Amino acid sequence: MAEAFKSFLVNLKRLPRTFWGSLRRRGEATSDRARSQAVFSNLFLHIHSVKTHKNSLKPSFTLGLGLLTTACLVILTVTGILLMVYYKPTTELAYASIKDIHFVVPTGRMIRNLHRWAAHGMVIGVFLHMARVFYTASYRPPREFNWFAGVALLALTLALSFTGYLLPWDQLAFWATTIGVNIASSPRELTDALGLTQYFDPGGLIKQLLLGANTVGSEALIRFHLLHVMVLPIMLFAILGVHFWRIRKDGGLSRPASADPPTDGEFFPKSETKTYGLMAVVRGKTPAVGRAPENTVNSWPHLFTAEMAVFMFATAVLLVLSLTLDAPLTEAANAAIPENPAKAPWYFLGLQELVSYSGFMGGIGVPMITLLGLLLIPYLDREKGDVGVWFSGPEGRRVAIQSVFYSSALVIGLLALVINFGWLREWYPDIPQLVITFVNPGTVFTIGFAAWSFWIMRRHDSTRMAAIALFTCFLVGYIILTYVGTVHRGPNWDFYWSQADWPAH
Amino acid sequence: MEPKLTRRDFSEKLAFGSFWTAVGASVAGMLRLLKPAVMPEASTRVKLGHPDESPPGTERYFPEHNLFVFSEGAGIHAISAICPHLGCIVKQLPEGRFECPCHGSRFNAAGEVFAGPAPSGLPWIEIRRAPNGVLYADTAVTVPAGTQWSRA
Repeated sequence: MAEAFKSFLVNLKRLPRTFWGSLRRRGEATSDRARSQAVFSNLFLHIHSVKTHKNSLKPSFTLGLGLLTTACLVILTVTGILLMVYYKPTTELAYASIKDIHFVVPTGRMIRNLHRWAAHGMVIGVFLHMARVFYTASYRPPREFNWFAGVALLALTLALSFTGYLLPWDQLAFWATTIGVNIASSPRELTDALGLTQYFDPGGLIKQLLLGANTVGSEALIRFHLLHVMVLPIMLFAILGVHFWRIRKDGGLSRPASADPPTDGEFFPKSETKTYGLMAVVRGKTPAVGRAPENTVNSWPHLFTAEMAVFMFATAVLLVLSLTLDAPLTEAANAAIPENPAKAPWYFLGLQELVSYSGFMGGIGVPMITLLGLLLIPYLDREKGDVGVWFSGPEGRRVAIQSVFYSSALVIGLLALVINFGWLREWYPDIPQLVITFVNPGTVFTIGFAAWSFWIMRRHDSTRMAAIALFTCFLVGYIILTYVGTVHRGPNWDFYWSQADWPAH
Repeated sequence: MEPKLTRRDFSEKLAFGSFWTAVGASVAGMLRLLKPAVMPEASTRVKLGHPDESPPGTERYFPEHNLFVFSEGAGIHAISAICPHLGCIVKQLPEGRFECPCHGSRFNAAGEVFAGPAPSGLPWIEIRRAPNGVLYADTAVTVPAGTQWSRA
């Protein structure tokens, strides 16, 4: 009895240490070996490999973009949960609850601003990360599928942005969503022109599924809220899990062949004092077969400190932005008077410029072709030998620069034409709608970019050069259209050199 | 001769096939939930009043239903203010034309598109007369452009 009581007291005294020990399983991680084992046996750390290649830690190679995007996602998740404490997804209360969050809730304004800026940061991060992976040819086998998952994550990021845009239920939200949903239902433009709508109406079905009604109202708010806080995040995290998992299963981040010691010749200097014999036969092409010791360092501390630095950098930038620039909130939604101009968030304004030519081709046709093109890049360009090299070398750099000039000239020239002289309907008022649907600046850009890409493919006899040409055209087109939509479009989507020239009303 | 598909392979395919069929049928059944059976909006019927309330040469606007009603000598017609491009509400200019604030589609006084991205003209809406003599329009029912409720 007394013995048990004594040991109980000892156990009680040791409780903090024994609990901590049971949590960590091993002692203090003071040696490289102990740290490796800690990474290996910890659920949260084991998404990292124990060792990281030196090239993956070079800021000039990754630019830290995937991590920056992840940092934004973490901040979005935390601030999003906090916002949900006060946000009320009903048409009567949504706008007022956002005002409460902004003006009454302690730190509410800061949290909302952070959520807004992190959303912008994530969109920028996803785009830049995609560009980095593309220009370093990191989509090459075995990483094709991870590129595929990455494009899915891009689409989900944009879908999350779009669904989040409605939730404040202000004028901007209401009308941007009305426009967005009508874009989704714009296959009607095609079925109407062909006289098929009464038999086959995919546009109307999409609209009803999204809105739960024919117009943006309470059902739409609930559906968008559900998508934004539940459905899309679950999909995003699931695919992000695959994305991270595949990095490890595909052998870590891509790297140029020059980042590893040469694989031919003698791997290990033979020691005179040892004898060598066959110990085991290993099947397959594992990273260790036919290779000298890898050019790696321990993930703890080298990778972890780099990750923490990127996370702190992202947080610091977003904090400064959130302290200086408030997330906007316009008047409460009014279904009778559209906001003029009704602009979507900036990353959709390139798309809005395209739909101002044709709702269907600009809002569905061209984006779908672009998305499909992005998805298929690694399956259509299967050249070898340039993984991890920026622009695949000087030739690719030249092609990229030429493509910047070509696509800028095409896009700016065509925009100047449309802005000054209009398009087909202004010239031939009785022109059938089908012609405008398929021949408008958006489709001309697409065809012009594709033609350029095929020409480069012929001239350089290389699918990689063609891919560089096409991807560069896509980036330049996206940037210019976004810029024009953001800066130069005013009331009635008319062209203005600056917002100061907008007519007063 | 070795059979191409062994009995065991066949049963396995059968098992997996029935499993995925069941999953597919369940998902399809659940998706049915998302398509609303009843639209939650307010009624699309607009009461326009007695024809005498719209003497020839006048026009009225019903902002809750986004509907213009024009009265002429021969009859009365209604034109929807919802832009057929992407659903914004058009504005009427003093000279009778319509202009969409979102993407700049322009329509003449009869609702025909003459500039901008709208794929078609502003829809004309059916006007009917109830037995009690009052006119009403149903914004869900469109009629060919030029269709009027005739005074005769």
